[in-house]
Amino acid sequence: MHEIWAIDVSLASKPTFSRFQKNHNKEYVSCFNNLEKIKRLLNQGKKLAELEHHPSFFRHETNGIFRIGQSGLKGAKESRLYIYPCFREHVIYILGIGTKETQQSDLARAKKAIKGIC
Amino acid sequence: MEDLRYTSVGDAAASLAGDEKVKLQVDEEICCSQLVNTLLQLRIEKGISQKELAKRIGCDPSKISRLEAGNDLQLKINDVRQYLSALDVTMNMVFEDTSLPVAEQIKQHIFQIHEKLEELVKLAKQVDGDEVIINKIHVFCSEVLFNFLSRFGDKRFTENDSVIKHARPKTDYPLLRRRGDPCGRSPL
Repeated sequence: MHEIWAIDVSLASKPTFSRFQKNHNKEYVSCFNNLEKIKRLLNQGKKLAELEHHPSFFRHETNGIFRIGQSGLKGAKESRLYIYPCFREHVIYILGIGTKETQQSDLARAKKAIKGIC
Repeated sequence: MEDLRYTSVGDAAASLAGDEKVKLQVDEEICCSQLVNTLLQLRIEKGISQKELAKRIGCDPSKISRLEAGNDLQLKINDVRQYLSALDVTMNMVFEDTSLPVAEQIKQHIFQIHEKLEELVKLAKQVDGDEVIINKIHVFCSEVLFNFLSRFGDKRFTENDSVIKHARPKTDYPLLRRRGDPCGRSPL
């Protein structure tokens, strides 16, 4: 029996998420649907950091930060939801959301956000 | 103080967006991705990459990627069949006519149980051919069918029917007087 993972939003900027959802609703929903797919794998005890067979919408960035993309949408804006799965706490920290154009600054913020957790 | 931890992805998405309607949208999308989720889980459990799976099927890896990235409504049955076959997983489809009377629906389930138990017998034979286990499965199978037919059987199930013949217990085990049930109540 594996422990159920929780989702922590304390490190995420709500105004950024709210703005993104208003501007790119389909992509927002798709990213969170893909987060559910990853969460289910974690709930089953999968060690994603060790796996080499990730689905294509899921990529390791740096320092344990992963990005989840939108998928299955025609003409969609390339979107990235940044997360940090903490295996000690069984918590997925949501760090940020953005597009391909803003990925450098989004990732820099995400790296800053995980300092001090796990 | 606001709760910042969630077990539901839909709740987290709605909280971050500041819009409760988002939860419904996310939950609906998740609901439409159950089969895709299962396929993805099976592939990862078996430790097979998208590339390897594509090689086994004889298609481009991008096809596997698209399939896993979409939802159930975008799936084609032949793609699902090929995907599962390449993972050595068989696919069973169950059709249940919910407009049938309850007794008929029960029959459907009973015969499904019977089929599954027969599969269990086949597996038991494959493993070590332990006759005791095989006999016990048969006894259980016969009990379920016999009790069911005793109660719900109609003219379609006569003494000449092969199903009822098969179901008739082949042991002296008091089928309708199960251990621990002195009243002899049927499990059905």
